[in-house]
Amino acid sequence: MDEPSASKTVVEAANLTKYFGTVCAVDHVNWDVDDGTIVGLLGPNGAGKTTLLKILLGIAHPTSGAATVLGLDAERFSVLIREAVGFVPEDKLLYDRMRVDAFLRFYGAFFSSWDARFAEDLLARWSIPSFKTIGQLSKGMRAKLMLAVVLARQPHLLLMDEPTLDLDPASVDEIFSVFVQWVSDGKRAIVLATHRLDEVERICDHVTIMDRGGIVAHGDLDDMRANWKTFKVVGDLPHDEIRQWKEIRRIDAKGKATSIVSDADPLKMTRRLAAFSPTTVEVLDMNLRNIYLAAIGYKRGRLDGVLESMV
Amino acid sequence: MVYWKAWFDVRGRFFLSLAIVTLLVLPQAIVFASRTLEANRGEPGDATAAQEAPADERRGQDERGMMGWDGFVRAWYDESAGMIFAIMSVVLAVGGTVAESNARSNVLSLSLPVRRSRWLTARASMAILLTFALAAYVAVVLAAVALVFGHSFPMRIAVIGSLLVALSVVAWVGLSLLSTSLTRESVRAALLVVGVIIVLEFLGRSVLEAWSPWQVSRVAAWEGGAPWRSLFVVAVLGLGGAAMAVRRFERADY
Repeated sequence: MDEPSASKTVVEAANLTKYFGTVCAVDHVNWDVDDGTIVGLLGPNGAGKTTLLKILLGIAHPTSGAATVLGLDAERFSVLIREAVGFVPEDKLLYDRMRVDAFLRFYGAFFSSWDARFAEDLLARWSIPSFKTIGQLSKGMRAKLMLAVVLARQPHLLLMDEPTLDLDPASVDEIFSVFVQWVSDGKRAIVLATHRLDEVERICDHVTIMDRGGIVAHGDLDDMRANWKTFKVVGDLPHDEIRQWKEIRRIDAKGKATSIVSDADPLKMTRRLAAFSPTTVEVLDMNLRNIYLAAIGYKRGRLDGVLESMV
Repeated sequence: MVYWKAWFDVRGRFFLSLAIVTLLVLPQAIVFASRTLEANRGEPGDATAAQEAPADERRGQDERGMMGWDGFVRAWYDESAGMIFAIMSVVLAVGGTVAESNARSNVLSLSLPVRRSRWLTARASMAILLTFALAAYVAVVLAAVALVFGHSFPMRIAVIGSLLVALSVVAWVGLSLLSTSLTRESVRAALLVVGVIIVLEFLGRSVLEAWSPWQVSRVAAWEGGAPWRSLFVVAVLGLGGAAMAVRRFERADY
């Protein structure tokens, strides 16, 4: 089997689109992931995160556009890609009737880089009994088993869909330390699709936020924190005109108070807003949670209204 | 390992089929052997049993007009085996990675570096191989009963019968793969193919006997030369069904 070509960019998607019937799951996505990075892939349910990962592995086929993984076309060389890329699916539903030790032998047989000792050590450390069938394991143990076999493959790239969903905090800590160590040589990368913003803030250096199939924010996490600001403005503003500015991520107005989220240079943005002679302009930092909510256009109180109508 | 997984998935059904086929064959063989034994001793009741044999089974009858082991084995493979092993091959072939979508463990299988067509090839090969094993097991059971009763056994006919069974079930295995790719579920897939089998059995017995796929599994049908029309039907159903299943599976999204 040919070795995948060495490449700084390990994932590259160009105009990637996927329709399921009339539903657009992935909408003209342009995306890249570099070696040595841990990318947090965020988005609400149905945003297209899982579909995007499946397209990269050839498990789903794009309607249009293209993706390359480790320099290989995802459609044409999916078998080679799956040899080099580890995948932890969202449903840790393995083969329930298979014994753990048999599963290790089965799974490891597909990979030339399989390190059986590493897998066995991890199982021993996590107290996963090898004589039990997978169906007899708890959800957390299944998740750990999946992570153990994927790590024992020594893949170039790890694509993980909610890997810590069923894990206790101590196990999450341990696994995260493995991940960080794993990418430290700069020759590997991890994409972590999750809803857990705290986990992303802890281990990811890059963030991609998806909503309704499209990427609504993408970049270095520190840069995002530095550039994304909330501008609290009091005064008369031409909201319709400001909405047209391409740097504007979100605008909420209530009377004379306007809240604007932008990822432009804060100084330049302040100057532009000052041109409308507002009473005050206050620039506030944003944490990842606020960036995420602004990026997906979440309106606070939306659910409150629904709940109120039910009372 | 793909073949090991195919075996792992289907072994429960195989052992169940083994038990069923034992229940079907063993009592028949013991009854036949004991009657033959009695007939050889000149007891009057046995001749009746032998006379009850259908006309085309008389090929294996001895000079007294009584059916011997040769005729019994031939009759079993020619008359019963076709339908029994058709159903069993369907049971062994439906399901697999395509139908795993219900359990959602198919994402794990599909994330392995294996072409999708290989999953189907392994499933189909395993179903055919295990059906042959079941047919050969029948030969072993019959031979063991004959041995216990001190009779000689026509092993050649049993081996040929088993091989022809394996050849004929190519049709049902191919249709089972197609049916599974359509339904993505084992029970409905099996019912669909069994429905097709019943229709083809009816047509084969009435208007299209020469084209019946069951001719392929009949030892007698080969004695006047290969049953080409039946072979053609088996090839079309088997290879065509499998090709369409592979095409559908490779294009599917999971």
